[in-house]
Formats: sequence, C-alpha cells, structure tokens
Amino acid sequence: MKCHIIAEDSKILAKEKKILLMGPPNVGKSVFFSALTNVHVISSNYPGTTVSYMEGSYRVGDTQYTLIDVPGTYSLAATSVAEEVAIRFMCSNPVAVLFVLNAADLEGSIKLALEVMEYDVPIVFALNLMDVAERKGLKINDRLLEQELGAPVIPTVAVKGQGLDQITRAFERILTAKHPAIAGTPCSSCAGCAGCGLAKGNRGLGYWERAREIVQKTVSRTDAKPNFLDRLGDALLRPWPGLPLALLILLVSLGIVVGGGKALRAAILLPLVNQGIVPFFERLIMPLNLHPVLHNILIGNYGVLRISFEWILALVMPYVILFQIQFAFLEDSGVLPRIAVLFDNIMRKLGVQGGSLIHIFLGFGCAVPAIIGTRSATTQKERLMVTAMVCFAVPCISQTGALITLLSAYSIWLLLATVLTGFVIFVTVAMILGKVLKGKVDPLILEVPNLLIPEPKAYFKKLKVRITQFIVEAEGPMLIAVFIAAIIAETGLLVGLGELLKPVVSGWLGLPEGAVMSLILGIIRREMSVAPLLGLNLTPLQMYVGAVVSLLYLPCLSVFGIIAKEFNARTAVTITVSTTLTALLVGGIMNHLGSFVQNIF
Amino acid sequence: MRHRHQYRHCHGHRNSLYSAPENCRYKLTAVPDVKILHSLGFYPGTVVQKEKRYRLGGPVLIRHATREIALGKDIASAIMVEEDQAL
Repeated sequence: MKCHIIAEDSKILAKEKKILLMGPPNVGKSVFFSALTNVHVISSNYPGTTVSYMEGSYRVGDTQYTLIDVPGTYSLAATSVAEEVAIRFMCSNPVAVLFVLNAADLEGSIKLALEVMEYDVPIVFALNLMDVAERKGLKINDRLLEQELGAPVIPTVAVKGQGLDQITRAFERILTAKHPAIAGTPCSSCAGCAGCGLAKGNRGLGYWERAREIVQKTVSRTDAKPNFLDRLGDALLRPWPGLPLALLILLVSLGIVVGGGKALRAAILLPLVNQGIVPFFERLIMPLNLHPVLHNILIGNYGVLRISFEWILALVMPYVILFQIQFAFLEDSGVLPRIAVLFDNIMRKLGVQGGSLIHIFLGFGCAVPAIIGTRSATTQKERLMVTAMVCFAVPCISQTGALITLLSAYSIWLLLATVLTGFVIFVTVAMILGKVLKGKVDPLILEVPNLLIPEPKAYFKKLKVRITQFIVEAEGPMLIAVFIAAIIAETGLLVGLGELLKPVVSGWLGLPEGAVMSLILGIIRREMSVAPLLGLNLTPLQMYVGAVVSLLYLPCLSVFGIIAKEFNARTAVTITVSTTLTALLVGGIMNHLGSFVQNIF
Repeated sequence: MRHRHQYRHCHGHRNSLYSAPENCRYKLTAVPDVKILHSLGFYPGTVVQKEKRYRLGGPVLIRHATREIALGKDIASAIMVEEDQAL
C-alpha cells in the first residue's frame, strides 16, 4: 500500500534545510505536520502511530524547508525501531527542530527535550495540549519556561490550529536572524549513524531531576476540574465499570458496522447495482452480439461487468466504509489503549501482551496496516506471533462483510459457530507459537492517553484518506480476481479444475464443485473466497464449512507481500502453507463431524 | 485520596511494585535494566503512586508525575519498592 513508506533511504538523511518535528509519542506531532505542510498524515490517539517518517515542504519567510514528522520517542536511547529512526535524523545535521511539549505531562516532555538539546540544534518549543492541561488544573508560566529552556516556547492547541503562525514567526526569527553557527561537536562525521546517541542511559536520572526542577518552578496546580471525559476515561480504566463498558463499545461498533453495512447494502448499493449499473451494461453489450465466450466473460453470470460491481460495490464496500467510520473514532478517542490494559491479563495468558490487542483490532480492518503496526512492538517474537494470529483467524472487514451476508442470510447460529471456530484457532495458534518460537515477549508498558472527543476536521480528513486508500489500493487486486474468475468460469476451465480438486473440494470438504472458484480466488483477495459461495445454494453444513475454510484460508496477495517485506520470504511462505493446510484440515474435520452428527439425528 | 486507605499498612520491606498494596506512594529501590522504563522515568529513587492492580495476572496502574502508565505483571514484579516516607 502506498501509504506504507517503509524504506528509510539515506537520500532523505542527506537532504539539507531539514526541520525535524520531535516530541514524546502521542503529543500531536502528526497534527502539527498536517497543519504546517498540508500533507495529510494519519494521526490517532495511541502511542506508536507514526512508525516510519513523513516529509513535507514547509515555508518559513521566503525559503522552503523540508519538515519531517519523526516517530515519537520517550528518549534517545534507541529502545525501539522508531527511536533508532529519530536518532538517525538528529545525527543528520538538521537545520532546526520543532519540539512538541505535552502541557498535560510537562516533566516527561522536558526530560526528552533536554536530551534533544544536547545536539546543539536551534530549537522552537510548541507547548501543546494546553486545553487538556487546563482541564487537569495545571497552569504553566510559559515565559518562565522559555528562560529555563533557553528557547522560544509557544502555547498551542494544534488540533484547533491555535498558535501555529507564532511558531512560523519564531522559526523566521531564529533561522534568518543570525547564521546558526552549530556549536559543540558537529555531527557531520556520523551522518545517519545509529549509535551516536549522546544521551547515555546513566545520565538519564540527571535529566529527570532537572526536568522535575523546571516543572516545580513553572507549573502551579489549581483545582482540577475533571470534566465528564476525564471521569469516563478513568471509569474505562477500572475493571468495573470498564470491562462491561468496553464490551458494550465493541458490540456497538460491531452493530454499527454490521447493521449499517446491511442497511447501506440493501437500501442503496444493491438496487444501484442490480437495477442501475448491470442493466446499463447489458443494454450496452447485448446489441454487439459478440462471440458467445467473450460475451459471457463480459456479462455472463460470472461476467466481469456483473460480478465486479456485485461483489466489490454491493458486498464489500458498505462494510469497509462503516468499519473505517467507527474505527477511526475509536482510534482518535483513546479507547483502544484502555481496552489493551483491561484485557492484558487474557492476552498475557495467550503469550502476548495487551498492547498487541490494538494491532489485532487493526487486523479486523485490514491485515496490512496491522502487520505494519507491529513495528512498534519491542521484540521479534511478539511481531511474529501477532502477524500469525492476524493471518490465521482475524478476517479483514471485507471478508467479515461477505461472511455476514453469507451466514446471516441463513441463521445467526452459523455465524456464531464460525466466530467460535475462528476464536478457538486463534487461541491454539497463540499457544503453539508461544512455545515454538524462540525469544521472549516484553510485558505491557503503555502510557494511557487522555480520553477525548475526536476533533471533527482531523477525523474526517483521516476518514477520507482511509476510504480513498481502500478504493485505490484494494480495487486493483479485486479486479484481477474478478477477471480471473470470469475467465476460469466462462471458458470452461472451472470444470477442468473442478475435476482436479474434486477429491479435496467435494470429498474431504463436502462442497459442490463450484466452490473450487472460492479456493482459487481466495488467493488474490480474502473476501473473494466467500463471494462465490453466495451463488451455490448450499446446505447449512456446507455453508459453515465454506465459511470456516475461507476464514482460515491464506491471507490475500497484499498480505503475503507485506509479510515478505516486513519479515522475509521464508516467513511469508510458511504462514501461507500453514494457513492453507489448517483451513483445509479444519474444514474437512468439521464436514465429517457435521455429517456424522446429522446421521445420528 | 480515599481516606479509607489512608492508614493501611503500605510498608513491607521486600515488596515488588506488583505485590505492594494499592493506593500508596512508593519509592523505587530496584529497577530492571529495561531502556523504556528509564525513558519513562522509572529510576531507583523515583517516587510513584500505585493506583490499581488488575486481577487474574493483569497489569499494574502507576501514576508518575502527571502520567498514568500501565505495567504488565512480569515487569511490575521485577521493580522493587519501599514505602515513600515523605508523605
């Protein structure tokens, strides 16, 4: 996916006139980046959103600078991939740094700022989240803070755009006024060196004491006026009423996605496709009376012009749109880290930790961002385990939509049975990998963000980016799948393949021959392994087996590609082979078990 | 501060952050060499407030300065604490 900029090539490090956007995780850097460069960056309310970097052009006075949104770090001691990236940038002789301080948590921000100032780079401080600090009853004397830090400090509320122009003016002053002679040891020798972190671990304690000193001088506490959101945030953190609330939130979001998706599908998209688009193409193609095979490929019951709209527009699109709407809200509000804390005990028993739950939620949207997101995990074993769990038993949203349409059309029990089977496989995979894989999984260490109502402008911008991303990125592979389906079905190839795979499809899985199509298409897009099943009026057992096979079936091509990129080809192949074998194995067992039970009654 | 807990025994000589009673202020005496802990400000000598321990092997919720941080059971049991005298 193009939004996943993975390679940190050295070209960017060597670029001159760089301004780095630095600060602790989850303090609003990406919001600053979007506002100052109008290049939209996905920002959300849990630590570890930006795992690679984004660059955009930023005009100060009359010169153009490159502003770089560096991944958020707690320190410059390279504890994770994101922090190594930050250090490499600090070593690449940036012209200036825009450091974002968290007004609601000044001590931690100042401690990191002291480490960044070791690099002797001209710096401007943005004192962000002033509104949250005020709510917490903190009054900050920013004039005094300016003297203490020896650099301009500008109070801001980035999401509302307050204070941004003062920042640009401050940059104008410090960049153009005196030619910035870089004092101290120039770091040019180690451009891009990873190890030159000047902040040694043991001096860390010194920074904390200095930071605490500054905070004591500049921050005065008034009576905190926690509003409803703070109280709700605390409530969500306690098992009671947190757990029931969290389950309620998850059920409501699922309801919105399923209910809304079905409504959108039935009310708008299905009629649009069936009465609108397909007849239009039929009227267009019919008079041409082409060669029958070509005619069928275009408009036959597996015709490209028919199933591409039926499957992509009517079957997958409604659920994707609604998933993005509710997930972007969950991401921005700060609910996800709280759910991670509440379920850490269960996740720990599975051999991972609560934080990986956020990646698994991402997996319900699409496996690709979930696997990318595991880069913020601290150990390789955890990354591998979460990736495998997502590939094995977490259906992407389009597959969920297709499964729901297939199963709920018959009965809700089938849907629950499939979900239960998926959950059992999810747990077994976690248990097996927990023992098999070498290495360890670090326990949960998570800073709980403030609960806040997502800011509408940033929320709708993110929504637009996510949905266009899906249309642009996922449509390609889907259309390929549809073309292959049309060619296989209409040219009689399906019959040949059907014969070939007959022992597996009909014998072991007990599915009609037509189901071969779902096995083949499932390779390209996950939901394409469900869509063909819709047309073959299956018995409930066959429907259940078909659903289980497509749920556990290998992830789609783009997931295969991302695993090969994030890990290596060998891992990608092992996951593909193991998922396919498990899918066929479990499908077959369920089929025989089901028919055995049916014979008894 | 909920007064009910005010006079509970907060001390225990060889207590880990995990096993120590809730709702008390502690001074860290031993911190495992995990870099992210240092960057979050957990050093021998740091004073934190232990707010809550989640049951069934759940994490521990710690308040450090104005930050609320959740620490998994394994890491919390590796951090040794003593009761913070300066109340």
